[in-house]
Amino acid sequence: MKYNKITLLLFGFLFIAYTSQAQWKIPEKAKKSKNPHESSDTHISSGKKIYASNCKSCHGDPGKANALLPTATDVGSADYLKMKDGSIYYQITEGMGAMPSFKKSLSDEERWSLVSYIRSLANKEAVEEGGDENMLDKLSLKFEFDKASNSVKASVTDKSGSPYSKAGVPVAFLVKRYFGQMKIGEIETNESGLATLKLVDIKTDEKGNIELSIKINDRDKYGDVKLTQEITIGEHRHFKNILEERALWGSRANIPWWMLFLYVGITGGVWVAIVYVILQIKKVKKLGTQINT
Amino acid sequence: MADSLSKEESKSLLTKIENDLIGPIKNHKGFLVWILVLVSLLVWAGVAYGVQLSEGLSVTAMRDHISWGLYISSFIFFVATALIGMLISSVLGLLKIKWITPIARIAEMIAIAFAMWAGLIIVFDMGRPERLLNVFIHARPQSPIFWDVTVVTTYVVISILLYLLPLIPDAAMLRVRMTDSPKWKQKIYKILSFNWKGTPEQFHVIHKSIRILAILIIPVALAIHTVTSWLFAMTPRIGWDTTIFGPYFVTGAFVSGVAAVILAMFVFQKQYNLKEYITDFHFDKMSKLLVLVILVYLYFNINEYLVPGYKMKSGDDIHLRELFVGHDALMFWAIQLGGMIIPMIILLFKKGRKPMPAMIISIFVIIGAFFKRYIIVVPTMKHPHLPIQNVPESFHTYWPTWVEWGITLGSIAGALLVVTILAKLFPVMPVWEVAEEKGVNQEDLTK
Ligand code: HEC
Repeated sequence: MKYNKITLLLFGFLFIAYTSQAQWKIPEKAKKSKNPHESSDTHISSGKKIYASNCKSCHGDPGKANALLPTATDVGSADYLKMKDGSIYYQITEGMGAMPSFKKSLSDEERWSLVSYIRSLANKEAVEEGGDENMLDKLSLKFEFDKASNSVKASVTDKSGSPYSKAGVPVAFLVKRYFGQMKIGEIETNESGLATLKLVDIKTDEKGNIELSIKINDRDKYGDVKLTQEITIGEHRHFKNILEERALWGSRANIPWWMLFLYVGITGGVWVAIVYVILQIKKVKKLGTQINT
Repeated sequence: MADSLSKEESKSLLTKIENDLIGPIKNHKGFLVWILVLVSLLVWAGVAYGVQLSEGLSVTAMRDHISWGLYISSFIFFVATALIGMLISSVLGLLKIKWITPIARIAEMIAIAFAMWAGLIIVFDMGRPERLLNVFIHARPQSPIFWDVTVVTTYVVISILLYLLPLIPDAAMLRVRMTDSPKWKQKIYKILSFNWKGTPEQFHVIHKSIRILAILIIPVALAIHTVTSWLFAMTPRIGWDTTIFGPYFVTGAFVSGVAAVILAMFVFQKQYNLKEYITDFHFDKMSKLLVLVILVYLYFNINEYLVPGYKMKSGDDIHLRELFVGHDALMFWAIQLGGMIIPMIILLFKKGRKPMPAMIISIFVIIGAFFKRYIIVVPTMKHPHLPIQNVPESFHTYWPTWVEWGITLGSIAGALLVVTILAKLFPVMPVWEVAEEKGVNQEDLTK
């Protein structure tokens, strides 16, 4: 144990010494390489998806400076976005220190799509800085369930109730479960302010209801916009309550018969014998008195 | 044999036996020091328990992961040691093995003392002992814990009866002979002699009752330790999830029990001057018995560790590696070698079975048996079912605190105190049986 701690410490020091010394050394040639793919919307959105599943765990949301690994750079920051495409590509490909290399796990095209995505953040920021109105607490949500298509249609409106026509508001759908809310999907709104999610395999309660919450999943930009409602999406169901049957896990009243017989039978049998022996002691006493008289 | 003695010889032999066995009850040499040691240990345990009651179980080293520690380990050790009563007085008794007569009651005293304290240790392990009654009020016969409560109680009762029945004739004799002892003592003798006159009818009833109990206690004793093992084996935890835990525990129990009896035999032989009754022959026999039970126990150990060790299933592997070469390896091998294999080898030699070496070896075996229970309980709890991250360091390490050691040592002292008190009230051997064995005439016994 002690031994382990010492080795751990040693490795820790080595690691820190190694990483604090290290600097990105990007070859000139790599810096100059250009993105061979066109920065199309599909390219960027596939980059966004890859980011969410591969990078977010350490880097957090780009531009929000909320990295989960404190040393992981915010790749959405204006400061970082001064980097050249070729450099970003090189850094993702090779990695350094705690930043893993993605040479093997992501394809060439996927890595470039990440570059496109990261680069697109720069444009977005420029747009946002270019007088995008402040959207904090300006929007409302409502939703309805469509039985025929088994889908939930969420609509984002402004406070007056008319649809919010700027597409791309992220709407998250959550269902209440035992230990909190389970996210079942996240969809961005279209130009009519609509985000539609098809419900697949969602378990209901006995009455066929679920408690559905939808919220705009960008608190910094839109504020806390959330709506929770119980909706009926299925038929009445009948659950067998396994706590009510006679079983090992049941309450005392629901003890299985065989176990009750065994317990009472064995314990009872032994105690009958014990009581018998105790009565024999009484008999010894009685035999002794008879002699006296 | 009985008729080979003349009337006078028989009479004087009986008187001698009576004197030899009753004498030490009166004799107080060294007794007070011994009692003082035990009582101070108990007082110390009382202080520790006071701290635990007012501060809560956080004064122990038990935490969320390792919630069974020294208390439960000692509980199993106590139950195990108590099992010896059944092996000696019942199994060997029913097999009509004669040499056990002088040591059967010693075994029975150990059984009573340790079984009673085993129950108490469970209470010490409770965070809210004032809710003890809930265990009974809300008892579910589906739960192995409730079986354990049932069977421990039953075993204590049968052990007490098995102690009391052969004591009746002795109590009657003490009533006559100990007229100079304090009133309360005489009262006890009077009550426990149950109007004993030594008539053939009374002998018959006693013999029959003892026989019933001797048979009854075999399944109950097997049950008590099998159920204790089920407290572990009925869960799917790594290291406990095995089908041989029942026999593994029972055979392990005999090891510590036989060693405890050898130790007690040595002490009584020396302190009570019983050289003529507890002889080298008895040490030799008991040592051979110890070899036998260790061998059986080793067989189960090999099964318990070699079989999973050969497969090294994932999950098992972490646990087993910790035992074989990891954090707990030192304790594990010390127990296996120093508490079983080496003692057994020494006992194979005739010189090793002499009283002194046998006694020293027994101490090693007992210590080994105690920590063996610890190795069964604690390491398994270090590896929870789910990989849990970011828990405090104290959750996955365990070493008992002074409170736990205090209460545990106090419990051992308490059990020894019970044995001591019994040995101060009554002869440590059944006088009439010993006399019968030595050839005293029947009519002298049934006077
Ligand atoms: C295991 C956590 C981890 C993951 C996963 C991860 N990174 Fe990193 N990344 C880091 C760390 C830590 C650094 C900072 C390394 C340094 O400068 O020492 C870093 C640095 C970077 C840099 C260079 C920033 C700079 O300061 O020059 C880029 C670009 C980058 N990561 C992109 C990504 C992308 C894209 C992904 C997903 C494909 C990703 N990272 C996945 C931890 C991670």
